[in-house]
Amino acid sequence: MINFIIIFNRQGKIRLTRWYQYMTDKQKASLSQDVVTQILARKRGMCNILELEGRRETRGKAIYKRYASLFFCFGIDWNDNELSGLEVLHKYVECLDQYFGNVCELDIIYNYSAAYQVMDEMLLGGHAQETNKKVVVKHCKGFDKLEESDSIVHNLRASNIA
Amino acid sequence: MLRLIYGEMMGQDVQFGAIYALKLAQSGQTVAEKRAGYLACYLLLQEGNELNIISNYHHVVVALVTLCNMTLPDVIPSMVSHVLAALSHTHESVRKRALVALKNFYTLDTDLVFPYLDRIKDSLYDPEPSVMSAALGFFAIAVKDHAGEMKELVPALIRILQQVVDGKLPKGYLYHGMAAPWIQIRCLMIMAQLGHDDLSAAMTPVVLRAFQKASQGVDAAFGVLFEVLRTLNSFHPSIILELCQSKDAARNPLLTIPRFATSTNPNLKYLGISMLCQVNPDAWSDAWWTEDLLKAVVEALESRDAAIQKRALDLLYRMLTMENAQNIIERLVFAYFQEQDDVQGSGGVGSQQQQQMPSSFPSRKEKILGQILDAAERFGPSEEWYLSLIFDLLVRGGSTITLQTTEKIMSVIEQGARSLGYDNSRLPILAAQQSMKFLVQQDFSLSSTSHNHPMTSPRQPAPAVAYFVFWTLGEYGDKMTAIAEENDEYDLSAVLEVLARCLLVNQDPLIQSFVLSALTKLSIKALPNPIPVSITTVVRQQCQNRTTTAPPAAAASLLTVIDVQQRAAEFLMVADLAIS
Repeated sequence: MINFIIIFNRQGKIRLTRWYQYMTDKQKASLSQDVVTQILARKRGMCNILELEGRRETRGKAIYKRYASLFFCFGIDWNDNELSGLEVLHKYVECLDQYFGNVCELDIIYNYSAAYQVMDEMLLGGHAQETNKKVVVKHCKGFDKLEESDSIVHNLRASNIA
Repeated sequence: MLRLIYGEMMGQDVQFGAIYALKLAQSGQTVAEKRAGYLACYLLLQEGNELNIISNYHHVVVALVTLCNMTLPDVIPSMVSHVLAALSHTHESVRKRALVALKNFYTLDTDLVFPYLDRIKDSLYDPEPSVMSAALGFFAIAVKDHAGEMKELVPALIRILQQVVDGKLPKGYLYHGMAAPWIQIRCLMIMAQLGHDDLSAAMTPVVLRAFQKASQGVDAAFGVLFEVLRTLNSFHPSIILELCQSKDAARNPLLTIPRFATSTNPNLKYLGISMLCQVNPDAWSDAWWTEDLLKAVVEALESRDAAIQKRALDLLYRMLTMENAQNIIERLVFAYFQEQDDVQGSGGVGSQQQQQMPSSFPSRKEKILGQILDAAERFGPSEEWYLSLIFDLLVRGGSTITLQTTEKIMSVIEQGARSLGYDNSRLPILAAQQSMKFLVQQDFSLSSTSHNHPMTSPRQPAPAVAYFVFWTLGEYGDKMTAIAEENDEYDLSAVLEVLARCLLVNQDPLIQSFVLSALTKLSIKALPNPIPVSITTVVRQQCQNRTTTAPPAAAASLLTVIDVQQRAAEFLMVADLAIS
């Protein structure tokens, strides 16, 4: 299963994280720092798979891919299929692209809740639960409409009461 | 949070607060906050599930998503029935999430979900592919513990895989030319767990079909290929042995390994070497072990990419034979000393915990150490080589070398090594000789750690070396006269003198206890010859020094001091026996 997701840029600033396993805040901070520094240190020709073995509590691999200015990193279990993880990563980026329409780093910075929404549609409990891009985007947009209509109704009610 | 609960009690719709309640419950600082969080969760989530009857499925979905991401085991019992009701919801999105929630529950508390296994199995036959995929996800986790009950799944799995490979799924599931790769991979993983013996034969044809389809595809296909190979390897060995012989690329999945390992894509190289590690060495036939493959492996060893290098090293360990053992072990030793010490890596974990922390996963350094010791025992060329390797490791090894490691080495010397290059009768005696030389070299002092970490703790003794050295002397010190090879023969009295000197020089109680036990053992062997008086006086002196020095601060070292006194007393008793 996927244990964590970290999205960060080339300067090492973390844009988004998601943890599918229980860890204390301190552990999360140290693990993400560790992973970010290791990935930033890798060069072009190297493979996209990192082995995280130094820690006693967790053992796993980190797979990452660079898209424009952002690095997307998934932490997976030791025995998982790395290529399938990379494909899920790519699928997630494709979904983001379709949802935002030509996604860039700013989209994720300003609309991080939407990015989380897409992530939750696709991945749940550490596994890819919906790999059909159309379905994912349709659900997210459906949710958006619902929120909008809810908030319109809410505003109307509030103005009526006032 | 309390206002939220109040609002809920008043009957208002406070569903939005569910997430905050969760967050508070998990990361609340005080007990009061956590209790408030838990209570709120309990209330809100229960209400959320009662919304099943409401046509707007979005609310149900939100509730289920919260459940999926939860890690609160106590809330589960009340939720299970609600989630099961959601399993038969009309909207597929709800069914899907219910399955994932069940999977989450399963990982937290197995027994609660287990009785409902049949209902989950029904979900496998759901007409919606995404629901089926979620059910597969559940089984992928459950099958690891309950393989026996899951055997009935095999025909269903075969059918599913067949359908997917034949392309019967809707067009939306095509991914870059590959039909639903994730479903295929999940099926294969479950099959791998289930297929240990007789059922393998039934599953092999469909696995091979998946393999053939994948060989024609592109990027996504490689993932499936890798999984196919992994699955085949976990089947009954006869299957892979039969397949590896054929030269035909369509029949022999192992021929893809060279394709992976020699490709320019670094990911594929990594996976190629990984696959090689997993294949049973008996299946390494000339049909697919080509020249290029060998070259690729050698290249991987020199690669600048740390991940690939590590995999290649693992592979080498499996390829050990008498001829190449020395080279491989040298590489392993080199990698061992390059590896960072665990303590420094984890920073704040605390050096007080490092000694006996029961870790479920051995760190990389420990793993390499285990490999080195095992390889050296099974394939070493000669005893001298083995002993020099051991001494090198013990002296320079750092904190990974524990007393347990030394004990492992000791049992090898005692029981004999398996390598054909060793003469096991000579091994212990040579060990004793080397130990003597080592002690003389070190000027009898084992407290100096000038080799490693001169900045940190320069006065810390190296207990593993001491343990080993004095144990060998104690056990085999008297037998050294049996080998009259070296110019300087060590007879028993010389050994005793050396030991006495060590006692004088090293004040650390742990080392002294080692020395004293060695002395006692040797003096028993020396009976009825008396022990030289000089040695007994030294021991008496040390004993008295211990009692007159001020009591040490920590309780642990007090125990070792008493231990030293005890051993000294035992030795003196034996010495008296000889005189009388």
